[in-house]
Amino acid sequence: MNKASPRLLSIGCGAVYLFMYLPLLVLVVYSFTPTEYGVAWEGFTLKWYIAVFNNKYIQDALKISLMIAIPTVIISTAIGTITAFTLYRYKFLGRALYQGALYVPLVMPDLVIGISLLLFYTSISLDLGILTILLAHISFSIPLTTLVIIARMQRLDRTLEDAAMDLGADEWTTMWKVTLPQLMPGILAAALLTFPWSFNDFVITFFVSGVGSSTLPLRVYSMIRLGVSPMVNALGTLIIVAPLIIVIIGTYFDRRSVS
Amino acid sequence: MKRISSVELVRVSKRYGDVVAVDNLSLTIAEGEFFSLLGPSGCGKTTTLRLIGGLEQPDAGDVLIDGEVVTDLPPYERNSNIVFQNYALFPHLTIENNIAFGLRLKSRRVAEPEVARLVAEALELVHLEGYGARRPNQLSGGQQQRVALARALVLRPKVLLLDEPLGALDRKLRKAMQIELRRIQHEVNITFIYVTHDQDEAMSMSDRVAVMRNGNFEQLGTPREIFQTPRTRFVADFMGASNIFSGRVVALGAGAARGASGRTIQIETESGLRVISSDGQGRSAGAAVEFSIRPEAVQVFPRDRDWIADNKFEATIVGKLYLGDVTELEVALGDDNSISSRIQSSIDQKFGFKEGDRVSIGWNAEDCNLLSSGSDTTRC
Repeated sequence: MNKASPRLLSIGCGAVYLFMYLPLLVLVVYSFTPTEYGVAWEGFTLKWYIAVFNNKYIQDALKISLMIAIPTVIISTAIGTITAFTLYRYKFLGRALYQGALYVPLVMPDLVIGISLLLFYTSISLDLGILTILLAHISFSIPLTTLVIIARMQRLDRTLEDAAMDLGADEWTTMWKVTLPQLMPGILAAALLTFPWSFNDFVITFFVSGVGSSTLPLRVYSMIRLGVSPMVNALGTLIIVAPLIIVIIGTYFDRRSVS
Repeated sequence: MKRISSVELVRVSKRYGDVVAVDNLSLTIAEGEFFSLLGPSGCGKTTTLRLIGGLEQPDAGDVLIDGEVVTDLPPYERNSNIVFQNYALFPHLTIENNIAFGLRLKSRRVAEPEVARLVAEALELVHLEGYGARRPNQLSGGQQQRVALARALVLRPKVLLLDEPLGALDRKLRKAMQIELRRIQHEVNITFIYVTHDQDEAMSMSDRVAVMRNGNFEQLGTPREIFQTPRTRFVADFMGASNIFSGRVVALGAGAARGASGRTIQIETESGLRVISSDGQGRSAGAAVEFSIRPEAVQVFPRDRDWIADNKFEATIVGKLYLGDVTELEVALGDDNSISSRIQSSIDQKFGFKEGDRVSIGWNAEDCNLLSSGSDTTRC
C-alpha cells in the first residue's frame, strides 16, 4: 500500500457524496431566493416557505399524507411483528415459501404493483380514495417491517426466554416481559423506516388514489405540471428534511439495539 | 435413616433425530447434595440438566423433584432454577430487576417491600451490595455470574441447576468462585446439580460425581473414588490416569505387597512387564485384565539410589514437560512400553533429570487400579 491511497480514497468518497447530495443542495439553496423563474441567486427570502404554509391545497395534501402514513406505520409494524414472530419461531409447511415471498414485492416494479392494485380494487368495486391508498401502503410496507424485525430476531438470545420460563414466567409473560422488550429496537426501526416509505410513495399511490385524495407527492407533481414555482423548492426542502430526521432517529435506535 | 430424594430420574431417554442425547438414565440425588455431572462435550450432561429443569421433555421415563413427578410440567411450574452458561441476564433490566424478575411474577404474588428485602438479601449473599441499579453490561463476567446465581437462588428452589457456570471465567476467578459456590451451597442448603467438563471443578466442589458418556453414566461416586479408582478405561483416561495397560493375571497372592490391604495378584502385560496389584478382588488366574496407574503414583529416582517399591523397573527418560509445580516425565521401559510420571518440580530439580537419562522408576501395588473387564477397550 502506498501512502497516497487513503488520500485518494477520501477524495473519491467525497466526490461520491457530492454526486449524491449536490442536486438536493441546489434545491435547498433556491428555496431561499426570491427569483420567480430561472436559476440565479438574488438574495435571501423565506417567502416561499410562508407561501407553502399558507397554501390550502398543500395543507390538505399533507393532512391526507399523514392520515395514510401514520395508520400505515402502526398497522404494518404490528402485522410485521406478528409475521416475523410466526416465520421465525414456528416450523410449518411452506415456511420457506412464505419467507421468500416477502422479497418479491420489494423487487417488483411499483408500476406493476400500482396497476395490479388498481385492477384489483376496481374488480371488487372499491371506490378509489384514502382507503385504497391506505390498503396499498400497508400491503407494500409489510415486507419491509417483517424483514427488519426478523433481522432483529436473529440476534435475539433464546436462552433469555429459557431463563424467563425457568424463573416462573409462562409463555405469555415471557413474550411481554422479555421477548418484546428485546425486540423493541427492531420494531421501532421498522416503524421509523416505514413512515417515509409510505409518505414518499408516488407511483403506487398515483394509481390507487381517487378524487380528493391527493397525497403530498401527488400534489407536488400536479403543481410542477403548471410550471416549477420556487414554492415547490421550499416544499421539497421541507419534505427532504422531515424524513431525514426520522431516518436518523431510526438508525440511532437500530444501532443502539446492536450494542 | 434414608434421606429424602431431591431429584430422581427414572429410566429417562431423550433423542434428537438419530442422536441419543440421554440414554435410559436413572439417578437419585439426595436433598442438600452437591452433585456434578462430568463429561466431555456431547455426552448428554447439559441435556440431562435441561430435562430436570423442564426446558426439554424426555421421550421416555420420568423426572421427579422432591418426590413428585414433574415430567409433564413446564419449566415455570417446577421448583428448580437454572444458572445458564452465558448467564442469560436480561439486558434491558437493572441488576435489581433481574433478581426481582421471578418474585414479581403474578404467580408468586410477593409484596413489593418483601421483594426489595429479598433482593437486598440475595445481593448480599453474592457480595454485590450496591450494584442493584446497574445494567448487566456494566458488570464483569464474574459479577454477572453471581447475579445469575442470585436471581435463581432468590426464589429458593428445591434444586439449583448449574450449567458450566464458571466456564467463561479466567482461572483465578474460577478458583475463587468454586470456593464461593460451595460456601453459598452450605449457606442456603439447596441441592446443587452442577454440569462441567472440568474434572478439577467437579472434584473440588462435589459430594458425588457422575462421569457421563454417550448419554449414560460411566461411573458414579465420590470425587475420591472417581479419581483414585476409575472403573473404566474412559473414566481413567478422562481423569488423567493416562497410564493404561492390558494384560493377563499370571499368579494370585504373589509377591506380597507391602502393607497392601486388598488381594494381591501378579499381572503380565501384553508387552511383557510383570506387575503386582493389590486390587485383584474377584479376578482369577489367566483372566484378561486392564489396569491404570496415575502419573503421580509413578516415582522416578536416579539408578544408584536405594529405594523400595512393589513394582520397580529400569527405564529411560524420553520426554520432559515442565508444568510449574509439577514436571511430567515420559519414560520408556524396554521397547514397547512408555509410562508417564508426574513428580514435584523440586524433586526434578534436585536430581537434574534430563532426556536420555537411565533411571529407576516404580509404584506400589495399591496404585495399580484394575478396570472393569466389561469396559470398552477400543476407545480412549
